[in-house]
Amino acid sequence: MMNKIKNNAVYSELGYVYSWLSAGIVVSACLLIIIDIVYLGHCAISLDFLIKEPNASAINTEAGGILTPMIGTIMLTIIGTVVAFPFSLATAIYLCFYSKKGMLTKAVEFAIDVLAGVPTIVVALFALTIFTRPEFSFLSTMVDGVEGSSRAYGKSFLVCGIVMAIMILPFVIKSMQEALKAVPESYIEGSYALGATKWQTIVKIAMRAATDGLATGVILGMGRIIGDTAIVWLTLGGTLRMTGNQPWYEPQNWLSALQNTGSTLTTYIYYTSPAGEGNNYTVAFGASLILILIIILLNAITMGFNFVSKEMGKK
Amino acid sequence: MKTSKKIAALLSAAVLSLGLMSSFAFAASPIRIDIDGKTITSDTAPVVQNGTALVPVKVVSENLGAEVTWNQVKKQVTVQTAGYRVIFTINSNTYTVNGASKTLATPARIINGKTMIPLKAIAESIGAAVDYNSSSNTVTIKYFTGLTGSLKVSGSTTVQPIMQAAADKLIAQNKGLSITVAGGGSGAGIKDTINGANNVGMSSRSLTPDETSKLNPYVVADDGIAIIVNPNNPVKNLTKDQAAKIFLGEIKNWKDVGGNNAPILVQTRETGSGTLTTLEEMLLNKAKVVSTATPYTSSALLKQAVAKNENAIGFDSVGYVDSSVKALTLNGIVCNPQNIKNGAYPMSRQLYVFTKGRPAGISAKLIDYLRATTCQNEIVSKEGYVPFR
Amino acid sequence: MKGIGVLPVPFRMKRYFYMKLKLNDLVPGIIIRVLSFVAVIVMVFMFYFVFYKASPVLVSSGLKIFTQTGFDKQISDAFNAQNGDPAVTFGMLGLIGGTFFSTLIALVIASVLGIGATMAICEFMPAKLSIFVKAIVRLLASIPSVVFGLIGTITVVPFVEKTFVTVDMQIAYLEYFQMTGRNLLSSVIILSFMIVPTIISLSIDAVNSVPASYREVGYAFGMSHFRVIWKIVIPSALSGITAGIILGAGRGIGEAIAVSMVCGGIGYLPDFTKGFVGFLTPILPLSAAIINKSEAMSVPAVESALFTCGAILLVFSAILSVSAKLVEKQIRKVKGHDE
Repeated sequence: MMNKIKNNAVYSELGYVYSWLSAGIVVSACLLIIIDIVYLGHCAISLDFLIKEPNASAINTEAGGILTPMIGTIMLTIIGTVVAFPFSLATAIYLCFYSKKGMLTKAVEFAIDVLAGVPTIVVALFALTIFTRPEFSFLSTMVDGVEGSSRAYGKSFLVCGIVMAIMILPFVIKSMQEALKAVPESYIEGSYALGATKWQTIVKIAMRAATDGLATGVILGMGRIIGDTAIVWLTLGGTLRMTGNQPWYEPQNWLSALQNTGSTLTTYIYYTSPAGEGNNYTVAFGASLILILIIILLNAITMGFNFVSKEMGKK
Repeated sequence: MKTSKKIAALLSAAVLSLGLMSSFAFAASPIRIDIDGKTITSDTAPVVQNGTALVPVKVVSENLGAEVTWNQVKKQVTVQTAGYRVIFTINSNTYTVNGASKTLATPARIINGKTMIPLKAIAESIGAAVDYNSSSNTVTIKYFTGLTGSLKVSGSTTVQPIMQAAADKLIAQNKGLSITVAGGGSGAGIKDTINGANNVGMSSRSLTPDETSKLNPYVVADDGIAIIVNPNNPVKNLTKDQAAKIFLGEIKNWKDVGGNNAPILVQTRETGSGTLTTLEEMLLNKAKVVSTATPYTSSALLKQAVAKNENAIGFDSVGYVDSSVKALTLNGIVCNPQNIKNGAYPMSRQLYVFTKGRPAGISAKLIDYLRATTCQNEIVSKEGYVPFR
Repeated sequence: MKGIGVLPVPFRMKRYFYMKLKLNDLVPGIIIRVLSFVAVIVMVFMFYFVFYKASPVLVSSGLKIFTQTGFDKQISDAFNAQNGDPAVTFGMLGLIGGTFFSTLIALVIASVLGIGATMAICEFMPAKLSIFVKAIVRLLASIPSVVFGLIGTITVVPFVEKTFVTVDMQIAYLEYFQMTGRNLLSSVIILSFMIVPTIISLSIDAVNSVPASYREVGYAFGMSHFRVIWKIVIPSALSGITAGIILGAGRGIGEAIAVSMVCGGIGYLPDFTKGFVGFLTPILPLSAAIINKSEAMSVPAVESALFTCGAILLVFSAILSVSAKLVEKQIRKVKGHDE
């Protein structure tokens, strides 16, 4: 009997050790990664780094800054979110309010779930072939002046932004759907009882109540866009600078900048890492640091939303 | 004679001679030639005949990136740029541009043994903007400025640094121009050009007859393939035979070629690389590099791999060799510009750019720019390659 | 209409039309339907398109895709093929093996770590510490894959090389492959830490939803805290944990960038009969293969081969998503029981 109790005690002790150890390993892995990035990257951070453009040849030790990659990331996030927002909101609204609870709805929801699991590289592959068709040439530039061919170049900020929108569509739809579903039935019933039309109910009641959840969905999408590399690498290319008409910041050149390629923070990191050609990993870590900070910020905003909505929920 | 008449005669003689001298001086006063904002100096001064400036052919060919050939039998000089072929016959008033006949006021001449061609005619035929300012006696030619549009260039990673530097310079002097330069390897560049996915392609290997039937290649530089190893590797030289055996996988340990007892880790390029194809042709007799070699998609990545691994061996264009790797001598011959130029180095080759069909517009200008002396001296040499002229 | 007489005339007209034709609802309804239709069509089309583009290779290589190796050489042959050469058949066994082994081993490690960490977070930690650790886990989940890849190349690969690869081993295996720090082991290490947060977050949800009554029963029997968790809570939460593991697997097979930077880049099939050396083989999982070979895509045969890799990935990830959904349904069934 005593043996059995002793065994139990040892067994429990081992169990505690195993749990705490696992948690410790996971936490320390994350912290080590962050510390690594800070340690190896902080020397690259300076005001110049944030403001200057990358140097023509990143192979030099004078690698310049990350201005254009940051602008690229921001541009892509905006394009992707703006394109995805109406479609995902509409689909979420459709699934919650307009569709009958039948096979079609279940099929659509199933399709969305499956597509949420598709690897981003496959989405990128798909985009690469579709957007070189000449019908889409307004999104990127045509290869001018070549006899007998009409192929669009297929790589540009616009193309990449649209592909990002396609990639985040399933996630944002699911998020928004959850948010809209969480609006209490009583709100909606009450609104109809007061004589409001369906559309008025949706806009003024459901969407207002679900704002936090909808915003979280959008921010989740933005987070995914910021962190993705595979799609950017294949649809935006590995160039370090903006290839539209220079200088790119003048408004008359903006359309040209959008239709041409460039880089984002993620491809900049890939390019300057030892796997890319830059082989200058100090700036790669510097850019990683900036990227991580942006992501931490987004995470904090999301947590803030959750916190606020919990408080409101309590009321 | 009366004194006054003597004085008058002397004076008029003086005036006449002054006038003559000044007219000689006027005739001999040099014409300045300004190409794209830079004043051109030439060892042979340009001449004015019948109000037309004649310049030595070299001025045009070197500064505008044209190729000049001389036909002794027909006494014809052919000036070939990427987009145009202009043929002048000495002392004839007609000339042809891409086969079409045109007339000249002043024909081409041979002066002091140098062939001189009418500047305005040649400049206009190849699409340059020519202007003559009589007060400052300057001919202004705009050839590589005022370009607008967008170009896509892709292909060999060996040629890429040259192309990128040239593109940067061109973009700097042409505000409405955008040039995208991508790598991908010679094979990808050739296929892209054939498929119309780029305007200009780059290749570090010569084109096959099948490819030449579809594309127009132009040489932009000479180059050599250097065998590179890690700087800490004690081996300094390999015979061609040893090098071949290493890349074929038959020699596997550094101690067999005079180094440490360590495995030879062969680094190579992915298929489609012109550098790889040329190495296989020149060193391995068209056999393939050993299949366990690690492939890389660009010259820069291969160089990095060798720089990081003490037992690695690889190959790269001489333009990529820097202090992070060590280039071996092959059969005792150093891989440097002289040995490449005179053919002493066994693995010398040329670098090409090409278009589908005849180049036109800004594609032609880009090719001319790459072949002009400014680019050759300032960019090609600086990047470590060998100018082809 | 009642009450409408009070309004001025133009308003009355507008109101009349709106109420009669329910214009307020009609137009937005159409817009909503159109937008959602487009969204769903695009997503479905992608699925179809990938298979369409993959069909040439699927048809010509058939089952050999799953039985042959040598993908790298086949890509290079296809790229250099001239007109009139026979079509290259592609064997992706090496790639599939790479994906399979790397994801499976990473999954095992991540599950072990994940379940343990979940137990600690949910049960053994004080509330404040638990919130902090959950935030850390969420941070780990949102670190971009390229940063994982960067850390992998700079820290993990040299570590693996120094610790496990010796010069003698390199010489011995040189005829099979070059042994460096870029191999299966490094990929597994990186993948584990990328999968772990998925498993942890879903397991936390599952464990938290186990009713308190279950635990009470355990304590009533005199079981220690750990025993209660291990013997009662975890088995009840198993469906949620399994869903987490399946989703983690989905992330693992789809991970392209981070893995391509540490995997070795050549599609060897790891041979574990030679012992630990199997872990030191360079591999090339399917997603990394697409990234690495994407530059050869101008040749239709290569393009089709890469789409075939994509199609295989699509099928696997679809199966995993479906399984996760089925497991989730299980949870609902069980929960429904209690309520």
